[in-house]
Amino acid sequence: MARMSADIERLIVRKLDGELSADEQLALDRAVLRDPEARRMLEDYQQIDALAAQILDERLSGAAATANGELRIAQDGAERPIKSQSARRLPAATGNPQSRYSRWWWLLPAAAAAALFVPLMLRTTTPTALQPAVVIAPQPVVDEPVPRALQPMPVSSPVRRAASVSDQAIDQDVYYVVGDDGRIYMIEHERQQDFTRERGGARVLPAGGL
Amino acid sequence: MTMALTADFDPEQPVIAAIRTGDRHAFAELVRRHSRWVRAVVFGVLGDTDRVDDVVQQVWALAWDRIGELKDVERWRPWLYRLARNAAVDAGRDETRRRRFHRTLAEMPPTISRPTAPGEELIARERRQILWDAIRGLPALYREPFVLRHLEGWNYQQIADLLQMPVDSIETRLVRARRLLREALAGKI
Repeated sequence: MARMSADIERLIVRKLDGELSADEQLALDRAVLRDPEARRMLEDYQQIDALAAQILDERLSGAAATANGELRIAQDGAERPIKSQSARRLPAATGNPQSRYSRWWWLLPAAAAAALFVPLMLRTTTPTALQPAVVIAPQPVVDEPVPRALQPMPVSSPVRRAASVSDQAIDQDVYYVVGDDGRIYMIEHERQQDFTRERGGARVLPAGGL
Repeated sequence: MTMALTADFDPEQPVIAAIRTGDRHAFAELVRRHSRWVRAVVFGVLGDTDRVDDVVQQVWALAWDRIGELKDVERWRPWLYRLARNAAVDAGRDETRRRRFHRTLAEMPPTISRPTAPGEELIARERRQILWDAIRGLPALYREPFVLRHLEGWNYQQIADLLQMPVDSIETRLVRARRLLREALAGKI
């Protein structure tokens, strides 16, 4: 592209992006009047920009998806607990129900191949090739006395493991929020808490807190 | 949505500070205000909408989990941008690997030619599809600012602030994006 055209192209793009100064606007107006190619370029870019803005808005923001009415958009923006994990993905309703099944076309041939392949593998594997299974015996729980002053310790500490009176609780918070694009976003947050049980059975927090 | 990225006072900073203390309402507010541009960034990198939902979801979950790692609250936007970009790059890498794998298994299905019927609606739909394909076909470095400009309506400075690039580079990329689109669409729309 010639130097002059590149400059005009830059001016056209700056105009469409609202970045043009008054002097630049004047220069562009002159160029567009004088040069039919500049005029065509301006028209083409205007058309592309207008259409692109529409398409991107349609494809990337769109309406909020709901899973068969399972979830509704919170108008007040308040958080709502999620009752089931099935609500985690909220696919937009698809027009063609057949497409859902056509995705799984490979299951039948795969099952047939597995039915052929597994007996073949069992026949070709000699008994000597089989290794004895390694059995991992469960670790005995030693009920050692808990020290009076509970000190925070590293989780990997062997003393802590031997005591075996620790317990873990995992709280999972799942909630959703509605974005400015109208879509629903699921947020999962796992909190792991270590509890140490006293001999009496009550749960107390370690000295370091949560 | 228009944001003053370069303003002295960033209204989101108290929100970010609240999120760091575990305030979920503040986090919900952040998602509400910024999910569009996060989405634009993810699409800008991936170039296809099939996985955008999943990746954006992942970005917000990561943001919630890692907000404590944000050292400078003032820099929350570049931090969130990096999270979104990295997640999209990873997803794109997985997708490339998956496609390569499937290509070795089977031939690509034959392209089904769409019937050309008269009607303005059909022509308009065809034009939109052509432009959409062309946008998706842009190199990521041009697509990213182009999407932010057209979806969010951001100016050069705002895009440059987010992408951590000089304003001139943003302008150059936007010029090239349009040039490539025009070339791709020559005689088609």
